[in-house]
Amino acid sequence: MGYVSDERSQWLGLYVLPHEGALRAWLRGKASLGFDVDDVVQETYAILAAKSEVDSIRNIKTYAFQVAYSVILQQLRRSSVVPIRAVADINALEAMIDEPSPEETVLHRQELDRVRRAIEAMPRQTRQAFVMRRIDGLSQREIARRMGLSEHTIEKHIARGIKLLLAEFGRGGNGAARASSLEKGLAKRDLPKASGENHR
Amino acid sequence: MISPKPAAKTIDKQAADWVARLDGGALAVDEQAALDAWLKSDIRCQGAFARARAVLFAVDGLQDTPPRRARSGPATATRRGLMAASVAGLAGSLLLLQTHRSVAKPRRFDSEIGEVRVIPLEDGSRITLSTNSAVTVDYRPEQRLVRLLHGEAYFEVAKNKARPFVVVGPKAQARAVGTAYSVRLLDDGQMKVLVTEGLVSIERPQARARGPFADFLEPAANIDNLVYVRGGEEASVRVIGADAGADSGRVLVGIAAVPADAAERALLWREGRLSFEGQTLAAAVAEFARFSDRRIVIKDRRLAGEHVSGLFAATDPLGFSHAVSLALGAKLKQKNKSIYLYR
Repeated sequence: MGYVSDERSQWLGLYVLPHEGALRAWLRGKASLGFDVDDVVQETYAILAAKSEVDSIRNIKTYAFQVAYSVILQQLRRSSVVPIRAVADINALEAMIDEPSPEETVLHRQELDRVRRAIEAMPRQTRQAFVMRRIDGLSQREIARRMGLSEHTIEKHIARGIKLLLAEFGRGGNGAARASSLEKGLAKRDLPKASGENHR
Repeated sequence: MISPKPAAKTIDKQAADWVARLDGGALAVDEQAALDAWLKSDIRCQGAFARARAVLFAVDGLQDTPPRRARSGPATATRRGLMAASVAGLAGSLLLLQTHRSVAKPRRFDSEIGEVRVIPLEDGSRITLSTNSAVTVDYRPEQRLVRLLHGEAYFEVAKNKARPFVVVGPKAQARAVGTAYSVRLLDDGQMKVLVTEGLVSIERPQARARGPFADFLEPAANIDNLVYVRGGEEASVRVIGADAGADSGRVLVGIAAVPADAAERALLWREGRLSFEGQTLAAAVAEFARFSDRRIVIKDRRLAGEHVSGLFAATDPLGFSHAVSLALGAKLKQKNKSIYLYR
């Protein structure tokens, strides 16, 4: 099947998703440029998913930010009215991104805690189906049998679980105890006002 | 931005629905077309789709501890603990997952439709994964555990008496020390175990290992719970009366002798070939359906009951269809991705 291999999905999940909160915080700081943060994030994922290979990317966080930035630029080029501030921002990107520390290159503890909390907060049946599917690797059919529900219902529960997790990550930096070094760095150097809310 | 475009939130919802749908199994042709159209409609749909897939894999990340935080500790308790706890629905149960897991993590292997994949393992054993199948390999100090999640696989097991090799299906497991056998999960819930060499025991898990998250790690408690299958035999394992509750029901094991040439034919998929020896056309077509997205549709009842013999490339349903139309005097028509055989 041609749609986003397991391998690429895993890469996105383990290496890109952890930076999504920081990326969103940074994008929100640029909202005056007139784009929608969710749109840019979705397009960024589309580009990362379609790349022919990702092994050569040394710094995934920086790369994801660059892709997001190119998406914004593209949109600016398409629109007829370009806010004057945009021009000044164009070359500022590279300088802004911190080198990630080694532990930032994989889904780190805070992110895992977040996933875990989100799963715990799911409605009971949704959580049960979701855990059986993802942790135990049972098929939807098998889960349906074990829970005495239709396969269609199980599929709905899985979809619901995904939606709740998407919303959790979409919330970006609003959760408690989220202040990655990148956000701190941005707060200091680039976007004091925009990311102040995320900065303890 | 531009008003007629769907909102990002709407797209996220649709993406989640599609990913859940795909997660449930292969798409029907019309669903496939709908998904393609949706993905093509907006680059953001592609992104949302990728992101929804990514979120699922982030959940899998819960099963690992980042290496630097790995502690030594009870190696196998973690997964079980999770399962027991999640059944009880205790908040905080998933915490158990994170803390320790010093043994190598189970690895998952998938094959695409039409793909036959050979997986060499570190102990010299070898798994050949048939089309559209998946296993996880969980090598533990005390045993080599392979879970067949769906489809079919052939196992050539390196001898090691101290470390049995166990293939775990949803309701039963097949244990060996050094042998070669295939295990296939059928859509109706049956499990087929074909032994080409050596001796395999089909087991039922111990009572205490059962439950919605039964892990099936324990060997059978007594002889009543286990059936041996020898080289040249095939076991059909069926669970009856299990639909109401999760683990009620009895396991029935039927054993039939399989002549060597028939066993060899049954395993030709490992070389990407299918062999038929007088099966009905309907049965042969069902076999091809496992190996390709391209469906063969028989439009004539009597034609479906005709018998076919021969050796065919597993991923070439069209070649097979041409041969059939010649041999059985049937007409052939191709439309979209389907091949129609009729008289």
